[in-house]
Amino acid sequence: MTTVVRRTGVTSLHVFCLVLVVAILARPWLEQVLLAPVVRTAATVFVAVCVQALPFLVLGVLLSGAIAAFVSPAVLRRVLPDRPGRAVPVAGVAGMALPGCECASVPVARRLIGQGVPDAVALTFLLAAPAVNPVVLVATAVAFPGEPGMVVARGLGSLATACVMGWLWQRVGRAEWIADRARRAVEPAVGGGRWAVLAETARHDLVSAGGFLVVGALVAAVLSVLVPPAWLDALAGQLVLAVLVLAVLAVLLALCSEADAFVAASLSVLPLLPRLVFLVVGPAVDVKLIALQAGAFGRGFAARFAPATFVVAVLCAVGAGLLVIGAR
Amino acid sequence: MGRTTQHALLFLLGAALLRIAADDTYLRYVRPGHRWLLIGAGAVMVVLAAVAVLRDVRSSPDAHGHGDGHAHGAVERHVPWLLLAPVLVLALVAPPALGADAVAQGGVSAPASPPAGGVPGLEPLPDGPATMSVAELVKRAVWERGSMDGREVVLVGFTVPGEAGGVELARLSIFCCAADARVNVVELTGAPATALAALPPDTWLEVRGTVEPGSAAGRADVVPTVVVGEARAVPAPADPYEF
Repeated sequence: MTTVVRRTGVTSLHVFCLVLVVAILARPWLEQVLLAPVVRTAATVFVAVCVQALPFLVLGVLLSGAIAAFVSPAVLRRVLPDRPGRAVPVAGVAGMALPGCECASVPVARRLIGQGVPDAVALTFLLAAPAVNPVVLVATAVAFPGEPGMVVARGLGSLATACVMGWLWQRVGRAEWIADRARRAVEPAVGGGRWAVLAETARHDLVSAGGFLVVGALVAAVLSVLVPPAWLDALAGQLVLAVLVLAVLAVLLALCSEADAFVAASLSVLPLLPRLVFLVVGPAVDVKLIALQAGAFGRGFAARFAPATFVVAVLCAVGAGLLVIGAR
Repeated sequence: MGRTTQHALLFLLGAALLRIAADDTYLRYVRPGHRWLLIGAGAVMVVLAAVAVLRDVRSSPDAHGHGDGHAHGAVERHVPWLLLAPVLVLALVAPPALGADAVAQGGVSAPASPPAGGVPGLEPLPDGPATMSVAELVKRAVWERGSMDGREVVLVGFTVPGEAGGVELARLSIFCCAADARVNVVELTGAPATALAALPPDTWLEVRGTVEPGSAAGRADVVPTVVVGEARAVPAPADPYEF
């Protein structure tokens, strides 16, 4: 007599194997569909966004795992100023320490919240890291030679966006808007030391954030086919309209923050101010980030945080732009 | 989704990244410098999956079989399935580099405006035929108006159908990945161009010809015209993009 309780029914592993077999059998058909003219371009962009972003996501989850394993909440409390209001700008500047794409900062911010860092502070870091970092600012300087004002205005606008969102969250944000799972540490599988915690946290974050990254990449691929940048030429000379359209475009195209400056530079028929808005909005809120945030912090969070960030980023970018480069 | 399935997915995704970085496949999607990031990321994924499998096997076999144990929402629990999408697309199809379709959809935009103090990275050209990227030709023709008039150039690119039954030579340039590709094209004219117009789109050519004076006259017209002297079909370059 065996005492092992066997679960009957289909497990996900069965489904997984079935999907693989079907996909391999249907390969000729899949090829035909994916290589049709319009789909082909979207498929290439989809793979490109995934392939480009995954290494940065891996970097992010390794950092997230390291924070869970080696940085105790007590240490974080000692490093950060006591009052969250003061800690917000510190977190904004600390974003400089994580030179990477926006994908890396989501798992790290989530883990900071898990380790007891105040929400407002972690969210400031989330917004600042991809925008206010040396790699991105240097890329901006290279893309806009002869316009050092763009670099200054971008740094200023992005830092302001991150801090304003932090302070705003402190005022009106509610803890329950963030899904409980963001606050919970990953249970390390039976036993094991700190390295086991690191590996399990990184694996867990990678599998879940990776799925959401795929959602973002799919949306970006479809939109890049539907929204060709060429029709932007019609916006030449329309400052206000161009600001709004480029802000929306930054959300839809989901470019990585190291490349968007070059795209903005190539939109040379447009005034500088809308292009600056493009650069400040993109790393703070885009379809890929919204998907990742929904995964890490819950859909209720993303539904509130993303629109608010969008408005704040546009305002901060316009403010910084008027201050540094003027209305041109 | 069960843990074992997650491990299998993560392993496959890591293997897919390693696979495309092993030869030139990754160049269809990202810049050459990205290769080491892909190898690193792929290796980390494979190791994380292997470590997790080993730990699960060593602890009790039944403890982990069913789900994460978290009270995730229904949607969140199923999201890891989406990782299968890039794995399948890469393993079964590996979509080709952007080509004539992308050119037709994206349209042509003006190159970035030149800075006040001259154009960086553009040295004065030596005499004789100049081998250059399509992007460089467009930049020079538009920024340094007239500098390319009558020059003999050698270009490599792929064919796209031009206006009114004509033919154009195109090349895409990327900054980071194929999602931010920009289109550069030159119009091909002259006697040999008539034969070239009959070629299917995406045929790779090396074209030797002279730049027609007065073409690419600024922002409204960023397409230089090249009078083709000779053209020959070439294999597609390992890196289909310019930078």
